[in-house]
Amino acid sequence: MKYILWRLFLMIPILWVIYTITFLMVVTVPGNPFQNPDRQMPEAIVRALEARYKIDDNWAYYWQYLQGAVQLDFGPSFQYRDWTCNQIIADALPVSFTLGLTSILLAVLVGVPVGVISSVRRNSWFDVGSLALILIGISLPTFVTGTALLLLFAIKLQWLPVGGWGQFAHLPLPALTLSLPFMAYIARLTRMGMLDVLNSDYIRTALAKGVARRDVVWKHALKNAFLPVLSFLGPALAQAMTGSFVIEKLFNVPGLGQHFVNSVLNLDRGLIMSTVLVYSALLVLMNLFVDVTYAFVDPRVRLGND
Amino acid sequence: MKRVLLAVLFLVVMAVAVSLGTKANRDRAAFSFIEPGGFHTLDPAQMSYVQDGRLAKAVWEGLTDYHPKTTKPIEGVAYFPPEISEDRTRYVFTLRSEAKWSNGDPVTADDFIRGWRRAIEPGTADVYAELISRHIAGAQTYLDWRTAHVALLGLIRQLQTGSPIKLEALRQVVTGELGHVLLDRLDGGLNGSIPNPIPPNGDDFWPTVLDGLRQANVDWKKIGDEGLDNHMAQMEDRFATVGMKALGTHRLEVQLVRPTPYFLDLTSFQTYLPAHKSIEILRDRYAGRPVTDSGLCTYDPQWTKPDYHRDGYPGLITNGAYCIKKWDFKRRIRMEANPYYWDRESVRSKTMEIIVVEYQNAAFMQYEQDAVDMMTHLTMDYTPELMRAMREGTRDDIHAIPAFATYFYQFNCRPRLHDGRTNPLADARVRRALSRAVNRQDLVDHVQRLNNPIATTLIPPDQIPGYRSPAGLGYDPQVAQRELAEAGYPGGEGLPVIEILYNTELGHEPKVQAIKRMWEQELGINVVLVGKESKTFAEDMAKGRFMVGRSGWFGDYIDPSTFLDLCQSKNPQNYTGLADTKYDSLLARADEEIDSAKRLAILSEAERYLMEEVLAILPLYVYVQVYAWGPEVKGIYPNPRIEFPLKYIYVER
Repeated sequence: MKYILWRLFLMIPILWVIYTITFLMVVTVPGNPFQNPDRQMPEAIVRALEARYKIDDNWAYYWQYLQGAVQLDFGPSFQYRDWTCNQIIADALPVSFTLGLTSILLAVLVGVPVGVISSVRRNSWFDVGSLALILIGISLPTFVTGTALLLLFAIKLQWLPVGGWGQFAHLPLPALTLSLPFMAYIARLTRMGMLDVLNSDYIRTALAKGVARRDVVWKHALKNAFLPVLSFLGPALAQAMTGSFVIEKLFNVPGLGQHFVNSVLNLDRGLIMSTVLVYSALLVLMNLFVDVTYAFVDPRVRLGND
Repeated sequence: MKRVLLAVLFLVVMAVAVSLGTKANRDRAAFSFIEPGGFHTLDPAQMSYVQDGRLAKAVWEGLTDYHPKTTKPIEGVAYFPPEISEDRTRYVFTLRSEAKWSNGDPVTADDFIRGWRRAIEPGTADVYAELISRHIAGAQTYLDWRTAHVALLGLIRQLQTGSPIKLEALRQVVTGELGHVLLDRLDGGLNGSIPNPIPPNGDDFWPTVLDGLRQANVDWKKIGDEGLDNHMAQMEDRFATVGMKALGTHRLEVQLVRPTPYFLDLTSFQTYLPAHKSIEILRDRYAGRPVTDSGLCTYDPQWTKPDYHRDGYPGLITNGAYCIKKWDFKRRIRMEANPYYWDRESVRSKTMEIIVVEYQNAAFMQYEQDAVDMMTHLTMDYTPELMRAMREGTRDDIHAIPAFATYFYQFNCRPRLHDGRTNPLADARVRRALSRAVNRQDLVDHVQRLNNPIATTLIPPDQIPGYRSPAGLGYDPQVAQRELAEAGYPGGEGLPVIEILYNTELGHEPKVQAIKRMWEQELGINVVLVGKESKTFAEDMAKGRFMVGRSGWFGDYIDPSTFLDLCQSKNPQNYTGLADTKYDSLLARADEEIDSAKRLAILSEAERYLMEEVLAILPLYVYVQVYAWGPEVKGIYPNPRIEFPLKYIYVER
């Protein structure tokens, strides 16, 4: 318990450092966020806008924004003038969340059994075949797999809509595309973990004692083999849940990923800072969650000093 | 048992997550279309993108509207035509009494003054403020007066809070009319005056002044507050000198700077839309005054939302054919016919939905899947193939519309470049040579491939009635080589490397590469491509940090001046740095000419001079916009201004 509190407390300096580094990068990037590529504004108006959005004084902006961020007020967006960053993130985060959660669960539900079966039937057709698929899943970029799935299921077969968000039918294709690299990696990790565990003495003992093979594999061995997957899940969850720019563009999903990229291209300081802070906070929390789960799952690990 | 419970728990969590992340399905609107690129703002005073304007004109209505087929001005909130004085500078508009806002309030002349004022007040003024300040009498003077005071107050507030101050800003205020307010506060030293001649930027004089001001024993807050109150006391009287007056609730008198034959075209533009008085609830206030502490007029930007109710704000109230029912950021805008709109009988589609899809391919696929009835602004790589299918008859829904817009490069005409080097393009012969060496037909046929008409003039020809376009310079490599030799660079030898600046997104790259090759092959010169991302590119262009820069211009109103003003020496939109007295004087003469035909003739001569002798602009082709809508979509009439008033569009099912 003390450990958890300590880790939560550590989040504050970590986020603060991330904020500062990002802020330095943002103010060093050249370009004026209020410059329209095709039309020039009278200088007085540009300066009035800068004063309004308080970007004429970087030092003051740093502290003022930090104050706001601590109270979870991320200020206005420069590019989307009618919206605040809070509104934009509150709108996009649940979408990315759902998409990410679904894809990770899909990745686990398919990846783990594939890994287990491959390890048990080593060098069989299943093993070799799934290994090949795993390689493809990890190597192919998502815009290739996504487009292929779109062409097949949405355009040729017309089973699912081409893109958008709002109905359940919008979920399977992007979730599947997003899950493939994770699925492949999880299958690989499970397979390695299982191979490791299946050679141990206690497994041989259990088999000798007459425990059903199915139980040995799925209950006793998997519980231990799952640990590397668990440590992978922390960063994977954070990565999946904060959105993938490519998938969002391809399937027109209004998630957080596009805002990461677009805010930088638009020099939208408020949105850059807020998306980075949200992502970092999530990443730290996910890692903490995984570490805690690890302790529960593996009695060999003790949190803190022992 | 535990397993089953866990499984159930997991499914419940998933269901909750999925339902939170997805929202309920909507029934399909009577007419829906995809707007790739999304909306930047719904504030008419601040918008500059075509799609923002299209939406604004569906939701608000100005004094005049565009005719859906000819785009000529027709009646809007005001009866058409208005009363126009003999010298054509005074217009009186009579507003119809049936014109109402979406909450039943009548539309009044004050609503228009409020909307037009927002377009020029510092705080809300944006790129298109010039459409009002250049045409309405007294507007530019008022804007300048306000801007000078806002600049001064801004500085005072920065001194008050100890924020960093840009020396350039200090110099501008101190050397302006209000400079004495600051100089009088300096203890000793300057005796309240600046040396003559004024020290330039970077001179030691300015940091000394700044230090003096900082160290002065002065209560800046008090000075700022007093100055602000003083300014506010004069503001309304000053504004009364601007040429817009309400003669009663339903009559609006407008006084123009000079006779403007296209003024009724301007009154349909989004900058001239009215604003409902409820917007004042959301005005930013400083200690009770309706401005910020430095005198800016700003509003809570959430005023454009239909469901925003801070401080009793009723949500967005509009007077156009449609009301916005819901605006989901980056997803969709749902609109319904405004029950109080005076012309509601002619609004064909009672519900309308605009879907935002950023990625072009995803957008087109959704259109193909029949999720929407129309898609605007197709820019996919395979658009030329779609156009070919349309020509061959295998598709019936692709519409290529040549626009009132030109794609061109700008030449930096200044004697020196930004880094001090001599500018080889300062010589008009070099510019003419570069222009004649471009094979525009090749460019359009093989690179752009949208069947664009080639452009040898700045203004797309045959689009302004009564205006005769000059011929411009065509493709003539021999003359080009000869002129380059006359300029002192025979065979291209000795000419410094020519740099072409462009933004790397949006498909400009293949075109710059083609032009580079043409110049290298035809003229034997060296060309270097400088590609930057949009915002840095925009800043470089605006600050003159280029030799040749990629550019383009969409005409805002049907008159040559919308294009020709681009090269006027005092125009801030003039990135070329051209300061040609003959050109400026031609434009000035046109400004004073009352006879419409004579005026167009003068402007035609100005364009001929610009495009055949001066060549500050290298025109390439006329923009072609490609839209997709099937034959069942009616009420939409392709025109070069890409004006498709939404209220006429419907789907024949």
